[in-house]
Amino acid sequence: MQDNSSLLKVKDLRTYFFSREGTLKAVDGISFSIKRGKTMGIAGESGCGKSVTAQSILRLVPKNGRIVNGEILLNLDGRVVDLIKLNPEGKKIRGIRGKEISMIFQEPMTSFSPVYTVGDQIMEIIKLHQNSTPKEARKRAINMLKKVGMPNPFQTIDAYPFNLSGGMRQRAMVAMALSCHPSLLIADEPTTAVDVTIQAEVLELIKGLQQQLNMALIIITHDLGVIAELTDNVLIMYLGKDIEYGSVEQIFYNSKHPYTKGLLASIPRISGSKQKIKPIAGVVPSPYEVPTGCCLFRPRCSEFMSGICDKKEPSLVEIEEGHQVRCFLYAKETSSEHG
Amino acid sequence: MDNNILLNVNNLCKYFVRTKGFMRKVLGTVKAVDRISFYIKKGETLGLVGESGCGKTTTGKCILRAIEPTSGSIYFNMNEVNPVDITSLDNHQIKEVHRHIRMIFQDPYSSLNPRMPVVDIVGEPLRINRVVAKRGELEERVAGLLQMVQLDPAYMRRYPHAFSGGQRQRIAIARALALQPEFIVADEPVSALDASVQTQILNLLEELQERFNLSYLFIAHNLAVVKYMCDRIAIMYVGKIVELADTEKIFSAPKHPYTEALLSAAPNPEPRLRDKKRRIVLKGEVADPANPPSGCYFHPRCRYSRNICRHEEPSLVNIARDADSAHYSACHFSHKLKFAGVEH
Repeated sequence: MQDNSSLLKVKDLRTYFFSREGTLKAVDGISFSIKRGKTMGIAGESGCGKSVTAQSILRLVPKNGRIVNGEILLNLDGRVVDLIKLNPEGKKIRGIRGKEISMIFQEPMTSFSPVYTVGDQIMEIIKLHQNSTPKEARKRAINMLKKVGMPNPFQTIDAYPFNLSGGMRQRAMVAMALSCHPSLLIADEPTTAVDVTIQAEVLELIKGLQQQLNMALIIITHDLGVIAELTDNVLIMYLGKDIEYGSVEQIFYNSKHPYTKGLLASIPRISGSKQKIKPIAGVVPSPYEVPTGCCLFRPRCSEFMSGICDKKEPSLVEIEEGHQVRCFLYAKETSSEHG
Repeated sequence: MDNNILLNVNNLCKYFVRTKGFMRKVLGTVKAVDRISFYIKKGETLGLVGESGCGKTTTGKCILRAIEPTSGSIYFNMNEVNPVDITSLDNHQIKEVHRHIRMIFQDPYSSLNPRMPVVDIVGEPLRINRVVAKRGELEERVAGLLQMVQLDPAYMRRYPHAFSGGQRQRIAIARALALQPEFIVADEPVSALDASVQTQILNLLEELQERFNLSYLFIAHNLAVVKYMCDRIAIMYVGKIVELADTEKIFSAPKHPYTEALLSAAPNPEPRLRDKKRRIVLKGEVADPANPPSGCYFHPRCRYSRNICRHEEPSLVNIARDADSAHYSACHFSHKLKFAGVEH
């Protein structure tokens, strides 16, 4: 029944936040699936819900938020678990976090505890998931540090996070995330806080280890350059919706949604001759002022069609194999409805 | 000094002294900026690029004397008569210079006072310099400035929290333009903004430059942004300029191994180029400016390094064959090696 080749399948995921100001639909109906050994990129501007998607998968949504709908199916060697049905504080999800699914965060300084050594923190995961003795755990932690190219792993294992430079800390973070050989790694803006040369290093490292361990990788970033260099498939998000999904080639060279096109036209490029970059009009609206009952991108869209885009929400349509877009420009049925 | 040159920086140094304890025992000096020289022409944008800690922000702040330079001279062609050396001015004279040189900061969330309405933030330079006398006149001027940066003047009584990041950066730009300066130091003006907003601000800065013949010192770490904005680019590494040339030259034919590595490291939004590209991953870390390596500062990470690099520090020399476009590089092997630029 289940497609065995896909490791993770997310279906119609909706994560809402509830506050006095109203309901914030951070993630509003996202679906995707990812296979072992493949890389998917989730791109979008701040506030589009890309990080909340990752938090939902790991069931780490903050207290005022709730997953209200959807399925997150994880394939554990043929056994399929719906992560949404698990207790977020229960034993089962804790057996998955760090073991089956690992995460790398943006800021390595805040994601390590400052009061324990790097080694303690890596060994904690190994001890927790693999029932190994402290001695074994230490050996494996040193091995892991070696694998991520840490100089002097025998000393660094006893270093505190503040002893390490930004690049080294990010390496330690990768070592920690991969210490139990997870089948899925989620990297949330893994290189935003580091310099370009370090970024290159970390990206190469993640790419290399991914192939070695045959992991699936989800990269969340606003940097389309990183997406272009690493991913096989790309999901473009805007205000909690998946507005376009396709292979990296389809997204970069044959994008269909006006937002994706706008994003690509708005970034300055390092190759080629200088071209005038065109910004997308307006700004991302505040999450409480999101237009409803219509296309979310309508106020900023250059191809806005009066009478269509402001009347109802577009649905996701497949325009070629593996390429889906949420826009009325490509919805055949609607044009006849209104025409 | 050439009349066309607005700012001429010569051998600028900023050394920070590290001290310890009550007696302020000197532990050593950090050469944050070490003997750098460059000039900026009228209406030109010079890019200053480098990784964190390389001294690019310190350079910008020294030009405004927000940080006191240790040595060197900064000649500024203020009123077309005689260039003044900014480093030799007293507190009173520097105020006059500050009317001509303004600064835009990276983070529009911390550079605007949250307790002041926009009209006061943008109008403060006008008030301090006694450009306007009456409140009504001030509001009129601020309204004009806000229109210039494409903000609705009706919002001038709001506080910064009511604006988005891009709008705040527009407010910061309006404040910088209030005294009609000739020169703006823009320190990472778009790196805190989202992609689509970033583009709006870059285009705004370009428009304003054309309209008022502004010169920019554009400090950034994003190479694509620098390529888009700048006429010439200076690459810094551990307090020194290692390469300085026209933007075109830096990207197509770099002459320094550090520049080559930077270009290869920058992620390029072109999936078709990714398999062709050979990324140079640098060994080790950026050198510590408090304890720099001997010889060329870049030698421990350089893949071309030879014996001479360990002992002798290369100087920044012009290696261009044709006279009209200078190409400065600080590498012993600039003329011998062929470095890879960005593929088209």
